[in-house]
Amino acid sequence: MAFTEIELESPTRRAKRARTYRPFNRSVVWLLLGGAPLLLFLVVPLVALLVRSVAGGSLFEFLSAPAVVSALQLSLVTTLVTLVLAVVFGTPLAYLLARYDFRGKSLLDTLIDLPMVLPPAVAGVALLITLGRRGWIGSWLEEQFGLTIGFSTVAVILAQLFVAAPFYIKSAKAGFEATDPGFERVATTLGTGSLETFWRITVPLALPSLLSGMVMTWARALGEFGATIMFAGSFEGKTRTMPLAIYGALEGNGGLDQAVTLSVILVVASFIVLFLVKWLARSRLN
Amino acid sequence: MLEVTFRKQLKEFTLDIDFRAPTEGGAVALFGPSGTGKSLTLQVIAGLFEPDAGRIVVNEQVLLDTSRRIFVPARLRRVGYVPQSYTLFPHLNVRDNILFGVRKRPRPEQESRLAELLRVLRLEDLQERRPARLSGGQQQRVALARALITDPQILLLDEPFTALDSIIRGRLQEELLNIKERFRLPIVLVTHDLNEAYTLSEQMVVIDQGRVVQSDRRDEVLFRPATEAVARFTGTKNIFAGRVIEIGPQESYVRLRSHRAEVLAPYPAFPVEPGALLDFCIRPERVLFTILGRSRDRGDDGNYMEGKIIREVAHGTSYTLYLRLDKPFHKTTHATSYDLMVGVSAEVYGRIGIAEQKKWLVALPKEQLHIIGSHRGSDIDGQDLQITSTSGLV
Repeated sequence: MAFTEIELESPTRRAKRARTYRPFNRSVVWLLLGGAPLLLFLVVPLVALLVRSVAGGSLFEFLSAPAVVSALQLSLVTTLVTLVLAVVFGTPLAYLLARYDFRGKSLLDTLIDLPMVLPPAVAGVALLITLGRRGWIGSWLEEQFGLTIGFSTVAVILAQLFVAAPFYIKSAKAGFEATDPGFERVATTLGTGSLETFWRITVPLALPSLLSGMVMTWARALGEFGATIMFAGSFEGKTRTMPLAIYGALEGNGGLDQAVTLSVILVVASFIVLFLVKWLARSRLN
Repeated sequence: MLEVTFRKQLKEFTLDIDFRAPTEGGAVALFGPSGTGKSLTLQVIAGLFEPDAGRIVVNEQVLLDTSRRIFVPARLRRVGYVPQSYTLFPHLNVRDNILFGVRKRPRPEQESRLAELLRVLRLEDLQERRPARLSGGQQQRVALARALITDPQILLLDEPFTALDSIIRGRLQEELLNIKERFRLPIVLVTHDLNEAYTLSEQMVVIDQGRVVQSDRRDEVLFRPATEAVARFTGTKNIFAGRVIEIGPQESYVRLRSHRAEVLAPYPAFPVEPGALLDFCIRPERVLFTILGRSRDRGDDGNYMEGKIIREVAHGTSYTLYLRLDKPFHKTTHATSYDLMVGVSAEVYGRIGIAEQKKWLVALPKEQLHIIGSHRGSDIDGQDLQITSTSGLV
């Protein structure tokens, strides 16, 4: 080549270079001493769970107990349906919030975030009075079609969707906002329709945010307890998901060992989820 | 033919654009200071920005006509749009970026077009690279290839070279001239760089504060600016105000007096009366140096003036000289202010010995003087009309 062109430093390399650590020194000891109690408090119970499940030999024994299996199945099915619903209906909403400005937008934004901070019991009550048998919509559905949502598997999904969907919407919105609309405009001038532009340009570019939103939503749905027990009740095979089964086991049906088994499964699943989210967040930088 | 007329109310100002330009194998430069609506105009042509009212016609094809409710969406306009920051798709490699606009055409067609563009734009070795690993010049070439592969009916370039350093910029300008010849494609480019506008285009549309102030062939814009603003944007700092004291027979010339100077100028494109107050200008490089004392029998047409060089700026291949005239165009209030700016090549500077001699007789040839229009504002007498300096072509 007749002239030299400077290779731009890739953002990955730049990020790595910018991450500098201080050398260890005496203050580390003091920091560690100060933080140790909390650190132990956070870690020891989890370790205890793991140890108990393995040492007691309960993990593999109770893994096949019918109550555990049915809770596991129910949790998997309901959380996946919740996830699909959150993505299907949450994506357009997130895109709308990211790309358009309108009156009352910040109000709508806050309303969507609200379920994330509300006590799940409040969500349960709210769902009961709208979709429960005597609720606004619930009573109408029952009269017209003979449909009952409350205390069914559908209720489990709706309770999860209510508390978990905002995580996806929020993350997807951030992802779309971080994607320069200039890319979409150029794609348009290259003869691409808006739906295809969204699919081929926007989604791939916002993918890390979309995925981490999905993972968080799924994790939140998996752990859902309060709204579920109020709106769906705890019926084995129908509405008793894993968190409810843990509670139920402690109450008497199954005992501590079943509770430990289910808890360990949830701990491991949650750990994987968090790890994934962090990994995705890092890959977004690159 | 490119016809662009539209109006759009913006927060800061109203964009009110109206120009027509021949485009057959030529380029049109939208030229003017930053933030005056040039890029938005390009986006309106591309269909990315909808005006309140207007009409856009490219090669006899109506892309927008609000009075007839025609709006061709961007994806159907067949425009090759290269935005200011290139916006290559970061998740696709060079090859897939370029092929994006033709991915639904038959394979062999895609391949043959791709091969041609990779060769013309020297991108063969970079096909697999992601945009993040390309230099600015490489990114710009990929963006050009991506726009050209769709066989657009017009190429729209937004500040194509501003982000590049000067060596790569020069190289790419040559490349663009090549592309212009090879693809015989009308080009509209936005730039605030006069050299770039002049080098790359035949037609210049000068935009200031959301309005077209002049739309003409490039030499007309450079040598016969329509307004004082255009004169300033194009680097003509010798702008004076003068009163008509004589009109030649058959409107052959007008004689103007400003302060103590008197010049002959061509009769302007509009009718003038004796006593009228006019603005006129001359480009710095059109002022000539003559040897003092010689050609005393010089004619009036030369507008000869004696003066002294008070400041010099060397540019390498040329010099800018600032002269104080014996009979100045206006009262000078500052000891350091100059009356006339002159541009000479380094060759002339050395040959006639400007370094040694500071007292000169300069000529402002009559044909090189241009009357801009009626002088607006207050009377000239007793005023320092010197224009504050702005950067420009020397």
